Amino acid sequence: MNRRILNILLRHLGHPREIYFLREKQLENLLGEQLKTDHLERVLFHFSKSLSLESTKKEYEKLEKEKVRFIACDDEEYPKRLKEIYDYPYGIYVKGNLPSEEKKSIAIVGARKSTPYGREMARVFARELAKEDIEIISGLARGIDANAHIGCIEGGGKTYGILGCGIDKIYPRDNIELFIEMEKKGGIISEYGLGVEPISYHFPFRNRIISGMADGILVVEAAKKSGSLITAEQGLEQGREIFALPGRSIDRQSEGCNLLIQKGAKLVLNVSDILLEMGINCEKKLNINKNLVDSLANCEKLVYYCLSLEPKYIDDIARECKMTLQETMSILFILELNGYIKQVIQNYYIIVT
Amino acid sequence: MYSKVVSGIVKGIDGVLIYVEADMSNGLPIFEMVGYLSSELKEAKERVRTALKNQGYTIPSKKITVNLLPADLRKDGSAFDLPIAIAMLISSGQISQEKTDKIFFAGELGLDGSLYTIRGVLPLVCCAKEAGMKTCILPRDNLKEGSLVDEITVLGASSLREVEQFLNGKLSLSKLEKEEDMEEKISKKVLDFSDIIGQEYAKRAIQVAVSGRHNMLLFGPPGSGKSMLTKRIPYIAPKLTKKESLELTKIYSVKGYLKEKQGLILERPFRNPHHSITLPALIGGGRPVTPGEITLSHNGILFLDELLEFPKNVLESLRQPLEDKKVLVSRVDEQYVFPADIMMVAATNLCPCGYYPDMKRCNCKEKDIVRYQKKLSGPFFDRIDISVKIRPLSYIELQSEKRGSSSFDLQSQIKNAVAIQKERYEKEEINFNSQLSDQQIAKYCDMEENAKKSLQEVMRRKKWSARAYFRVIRVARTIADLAGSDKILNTHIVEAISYHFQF
Repeated sequence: MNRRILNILLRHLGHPREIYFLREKQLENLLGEQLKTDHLERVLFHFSKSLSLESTKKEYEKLEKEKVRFIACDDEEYPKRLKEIYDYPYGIYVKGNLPSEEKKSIAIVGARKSTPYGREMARVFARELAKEDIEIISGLARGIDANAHIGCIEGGGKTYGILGCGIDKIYPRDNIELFIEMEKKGGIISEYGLGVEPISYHFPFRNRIISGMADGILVVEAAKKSGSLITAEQGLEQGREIFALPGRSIDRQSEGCNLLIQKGAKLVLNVSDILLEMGINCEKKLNINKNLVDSLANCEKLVYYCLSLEPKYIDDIARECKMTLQETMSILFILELNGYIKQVIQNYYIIVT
Repeated sequence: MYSKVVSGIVKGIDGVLIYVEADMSNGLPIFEMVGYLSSELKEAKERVRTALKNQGYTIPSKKITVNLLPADLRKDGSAFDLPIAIAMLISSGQISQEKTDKIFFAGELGLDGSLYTIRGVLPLVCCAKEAGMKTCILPRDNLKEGSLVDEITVLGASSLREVEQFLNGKLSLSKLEKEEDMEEKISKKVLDFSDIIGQEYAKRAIQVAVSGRHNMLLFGPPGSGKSMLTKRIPYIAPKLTKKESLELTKIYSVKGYLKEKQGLILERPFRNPHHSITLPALIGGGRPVTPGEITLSHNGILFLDELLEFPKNVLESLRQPLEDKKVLVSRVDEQYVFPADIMMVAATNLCPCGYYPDMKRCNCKEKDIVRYQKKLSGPFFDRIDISVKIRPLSYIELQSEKRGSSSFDLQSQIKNAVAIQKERYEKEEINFNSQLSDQQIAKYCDMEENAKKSLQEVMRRKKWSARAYFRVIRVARTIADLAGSDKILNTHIVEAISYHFQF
């Protein structure tokens, strides 16, 4: 029963209960002109199937088993922020908790094809925001979304993931551990019922919920045609504050963010830029902890300062630091072991913030 | 009259002695050939009959039977033309049997009676010598190859008549002409590592891989230099021993790959099969059973470029040979064992277009990237000891005047390391560090305390398997050998860890 049909029916009947009591003929009359014949047939078929008490009961039991709650828009618990938007979902399925009404929340989004820089930034921003008691909302996708959730958990905060499929479908599979953790450290929300597959068509709709549940949206990294820009657009329409991290002017991966800033999104360099807009006064800088670095040996410092958030190849590191390969390898090993740097892919190193 | 002549076939890469019998008796004139013969071998009948006629010999109209002994061994090839013709000449009284005593015959006959070259001469001559033969009569153009075997006289002829005349004492046949320098001049085109600017890390990794014969994986975008680096590897390994050369020449002879009039193979092989290769072509098989690319790379390099384009079943078939250093091909009646002690080098990209993680150039959809990278795991990758990311040179490097390490720079250390391993494993069945079993590691790989600690830390943090643990130690053992150190030090372990394939 897709949203459009639902909307038509609700408009005519007023309350969902009326839909339940509809006879097939009435349904056909109501929808007749609006739908093509074969679509109409399918709807009628599913309608009569789902109308039986049996199947409804089965659905209900399935929800119970999976510990999923269904919250309709006229329920107490339905998120107020979400209710404000133009086309809020009739009902949402929830596993775990819903975002707090009292605390501020920020949605963190970005391109799926992210760079190590984007992923690191998402994680760090989420972490620092979480430390200031801000909740983080994202889409549990690979890359930036996942890192935002992880960063928030690292900062001790609560994070919520909105899905483009049924809550029982863990997509993408690699995020399974994150899923499980988020049931306790936040929640997982979806507009779609159990068993619904992650079809690409669902995602723009899911994005409106991401922006709908947040007070502000941070776009970390986006190419010119990125889906995360749609989320920002929707956020704008919903009256949310839009933040964007700038990238180098020639970087394709940051082109979307840079354009957003041109169009009026707030340019963010530090967490404090966001905190200020949220009304929280705090001098927070994204700084490398100077103390920790000072404790390194000279040759280690040399290698460390040679690196940045842009991945660097081992041959180049050795050459710039004027060391032999063996010396460089030994130092990189110690720095990596102690968490100062990490390998994004083999033989390429970046600093850890 | 009954006659018997000695010849042979090649089974796998070794020769097997075969007796050619002929008999003529009264009865309807028919010519029968028996003895479990392949169809192309049965055609010998026509060639031999016509060749005999054209060389001026008359064969009486009698019942002729030719048998190839033993009868339960399948025979093929065209090398039996000559021995069959000789056997028939003996049977018809034109040569006496004793004249062919302790002589081995092989060669293909044209319809005019000329002798043509055959394959697999080296294994045939070896087998003739082992069977106690004193002389081999072969086609003239096979002389060079046949003469590689000591302690047996190898003579060349260019026609059937020459052989008959020789046997009847009216002509002498020549051995290999002039004291040709058996050392074939190594091709002038020696590829050198100094042709490659920079890429020091990759060159070092290759040096380690060659020293311990570790399998390698190179990954990087198109044009970054993977092929270029790999092609130069055979030139920094130590020279082949005489025994290795002989074995290799046998293999290439059987396959028919020896160049015309080529003698001993002196360069390490470098084989680069396309990813559309079939499984039997890669590991061996077919009918008749011949060695595959992996055996052609014996004691050399097998380069698998575009690794992920190879079908999964083909890669799977490599697992056992990589482990055992040999290939077992089973047929209903036989089992063949081909040597396959190779160094495998594989090259691959990190995404379908090849440019990942360079986001500026990579145009792939995220799901394609993930799907591609999921293929980079599994039992095959468990056999890769050393893996290196290669990337195109930066502008600064291209500008610099220094050339970087040359083949010469890399060679001497490799030679020492290989010698150390030879001495260390004299009593063992292995030759290189990469072949150490998990039990042998405890015996030969003594590590200093710091090295042990580093390894433990990494294992704990990255949750490595036992396989990874032993793999790193084997590589570290080679690194220590290159440094001339008996004990494995921390720096050696650290370097070995950096070569571990992480994904």
